[in-house]
Amino acid sequence: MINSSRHFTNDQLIGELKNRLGPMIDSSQKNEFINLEEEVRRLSSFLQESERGKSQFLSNVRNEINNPLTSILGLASSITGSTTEEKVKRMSTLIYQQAFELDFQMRNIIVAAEIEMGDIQPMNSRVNIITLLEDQVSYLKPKIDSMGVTVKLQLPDLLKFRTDPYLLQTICANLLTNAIEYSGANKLVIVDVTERDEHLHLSVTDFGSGIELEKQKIIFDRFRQAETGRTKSHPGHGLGLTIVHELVELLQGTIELKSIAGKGTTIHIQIPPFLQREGSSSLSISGSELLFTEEEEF
Amino acid sequence: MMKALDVAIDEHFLFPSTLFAERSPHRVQTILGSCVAVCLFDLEMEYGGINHYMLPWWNGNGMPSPKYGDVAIERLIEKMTILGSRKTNLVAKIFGGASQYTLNREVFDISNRNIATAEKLLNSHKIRIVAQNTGGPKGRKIVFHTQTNQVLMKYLEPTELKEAV
Repeated sequence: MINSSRHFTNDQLIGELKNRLGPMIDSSQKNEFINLEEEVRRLSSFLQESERGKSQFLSNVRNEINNPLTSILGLASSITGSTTEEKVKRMSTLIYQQAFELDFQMRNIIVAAEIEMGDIQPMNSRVNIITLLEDQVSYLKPKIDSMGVTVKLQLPDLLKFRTDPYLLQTICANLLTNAIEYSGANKLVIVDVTERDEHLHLSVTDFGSGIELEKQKIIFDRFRQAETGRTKSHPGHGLGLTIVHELVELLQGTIELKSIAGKGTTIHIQIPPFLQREGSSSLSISGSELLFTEEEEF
Repeated sequence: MMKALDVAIDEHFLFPSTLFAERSPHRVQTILGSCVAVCLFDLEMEYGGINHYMLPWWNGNGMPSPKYGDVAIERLIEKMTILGSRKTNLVAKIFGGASQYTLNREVFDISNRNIATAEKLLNSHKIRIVAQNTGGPKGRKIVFHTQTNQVLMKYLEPTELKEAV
């Protein structure tokens, strides 16, 4: 055996050692370093992105909060001096639309702040999904009308689901607004809802320009839209989908984006029923009882 | 021991990625797998706060929410400071960060890094860790009494760990 080892070259020996010890070294230290290095790189590129994002956000806020406010003030002051009923009617419609936009943006900014503060406390309630969606569509009517979009609801006759109604509302409002905004030439948005395997499945589809593959991964980042700069043709701060993503996660659900450039986009969310958390002794998760050993005190 | 605590105290279930701190007494319950919860208690004003985070550091994706340890710990300290606490009066207890052998390396790393984040940040804030039950293969259910700093803990069976976060 000793003799035969002479036939090995150094490289072969090192190779053999690596083969035998490699998995051990690899898994403990090497991975750690690779992870660290990756993390540092990601962090530094992220910091640069973040700076850019923030200044973009500020300029968005300037445009999209200031502009509606300026229009509202201007329109309101001209109403006070206006004479014909026709003119008053037209202007108040415009005021309503601008105020609606403003209100929507402000709500999103507040929800985003609540998520960042960890202040959101999901509530358990039996929610009528049908009326919730119908309510959202009628809430968004000013926007739907002004964009000339048709929203088609594909709903079962009856669907009640245990979840947080306020969070689900915010999710739906943002998914709908987004689809309406990007609905493209044929101006159709389809909302499909079903309950499958005890989960709530909701998908919102538009037939607009779609999102290119490389931009799909940034779509859930805050302050980001696929389009930026002067060519940007859609309002918003890029907060909407970020909020949707975070809220779906808070409800323990998943979100999926399917988009083909030039064909349109479908966003599909899946939410499990809200877990019963009542009582501190018996606790049930997904229907199965948890088993605890002896209680300890700290 | 439990007698005094069983009087009507508000209950709160703490969800992952959220935090809780109020001056009035509460019993806060949460379930931890690889997640970590940090309980802070103000020794002078006698009230506490708690967080529940899933990942060690915010990596820049999504929002800087209390889903991440660095954000969750800073926010909790901030919140207690707003409620009137002085950092020098705070003590901490850390729970969670379980990992099973059968689970993959990534989860194992996350659990350990979650624990390390708490230790490191609390240390840098000079907040003393007075109790800690972290790591190991089993998930945990904890109930934190915010008025007494008492934490009751039960282990979850390893088979149920995947259900917890």
